[in-house]
Amino acid sequence: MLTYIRQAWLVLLLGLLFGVALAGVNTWLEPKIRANEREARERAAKEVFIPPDLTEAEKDAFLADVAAEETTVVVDGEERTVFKVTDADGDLLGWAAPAQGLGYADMIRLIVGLTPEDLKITDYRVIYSQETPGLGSMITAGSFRRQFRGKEVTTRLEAVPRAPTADDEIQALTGATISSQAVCDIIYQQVAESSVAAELRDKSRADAPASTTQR
Amino acid sequence: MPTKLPGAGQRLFNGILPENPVYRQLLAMCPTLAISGTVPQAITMAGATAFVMISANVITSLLRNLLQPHLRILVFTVTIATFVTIADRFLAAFLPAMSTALGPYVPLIIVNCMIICRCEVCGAKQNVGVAFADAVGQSLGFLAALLSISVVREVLGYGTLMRGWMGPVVDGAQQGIGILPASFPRWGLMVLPPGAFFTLGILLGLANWITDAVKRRQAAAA
Repeated sequence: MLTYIRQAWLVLLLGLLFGVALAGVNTWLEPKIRANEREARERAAKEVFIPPDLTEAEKDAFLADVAAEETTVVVDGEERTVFKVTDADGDLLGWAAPAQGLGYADMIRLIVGLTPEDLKITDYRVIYSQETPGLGSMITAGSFRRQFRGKEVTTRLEAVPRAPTADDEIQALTGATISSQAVCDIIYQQVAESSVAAELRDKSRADAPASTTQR
Repeated sequence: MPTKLPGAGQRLFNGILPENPVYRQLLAMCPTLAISGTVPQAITMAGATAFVMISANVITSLLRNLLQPHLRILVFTVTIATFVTIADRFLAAFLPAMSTALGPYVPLIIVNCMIICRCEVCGAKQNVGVAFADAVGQSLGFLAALLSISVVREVLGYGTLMRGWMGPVVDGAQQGIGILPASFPRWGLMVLPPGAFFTLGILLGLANWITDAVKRRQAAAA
């Protein structure tokens, strides 16, 4: 035993010192990292309600006016985080629901914007994706995302390799059929199928009388 | 008679050209191919690798007289892993968008053979000053290699430079400085892994040709 310690004391000491150093760095930076993640989610929750055809300056002004408040809905006994997005007057713009699922290369994490009562998709933002650069990564592009605007979240969308001919179709990205369909499936499975959508509709109705009264 | 090892100045210069880690030693191929799609990604990866390599080489040099031969690789790995973790946390805290873009390739710096090679070849054998110079030279060589590849791939693949750091903002992301006219068809292949292989292969051939030409000229002069 003594022989092993005599040989490996440096490794053991370095392990201890580096462990303490890493613990210190983590303690110092963890709050900043969590704040970055929270800020990214809140920003995405607001961005999914940006009206179309705004200039970049108008988008920045819109984002400065709206507020995204993190709240929860209970689905099958499990708490799911959603964002309640309100305008400058405190009126409900809609809900931003996080959703995630398997893409082509890795997990894709989205935030999906939904109108309050009829739960139509306003937009989505990609929080995390490792899809193929130049192909699947184009799920972040405005031209692809725009296809989802106005679609019912309770309708399972299909990504087709041509111009869509039905309301439940969107045109897939060239060379990225799997990534395109993955976005459709993630939104449907994580928001509609999981009953998050139903809970949000109930929440909207519960909030509506208070909003009406304030007017 | 033991061979005299290069000094600090020679180590610094060697890392940039004669012993360039990518074009001469063919090390660090994984990040070279994966993180050379745009210039900002290449610069960030080179910066993170430089931090890890300099730190690990200096620490290894400080401990060189205490290293047990059969445990030295373990010491190198523990040291490199610590600094990679620190670099990863710093990127997540202060450059979150870039941290997301680089993804798993920052933690993969731990197994970057270029770093452990320098610890073995220089850090474990020479003093801190030489180890530092060696790490700086190799880091500059790695940066030069990544930049040469990323400039080609980004210009031909996107038509821009500094995409993500400069240029007009569209959909919340900076689109880069336009280099090629809009009429020039973008080579989508250059953004994909095959484009990385093609670019690396052609530039490697060019580096070999230049090296041979210099040697022939030196032989002719002699």
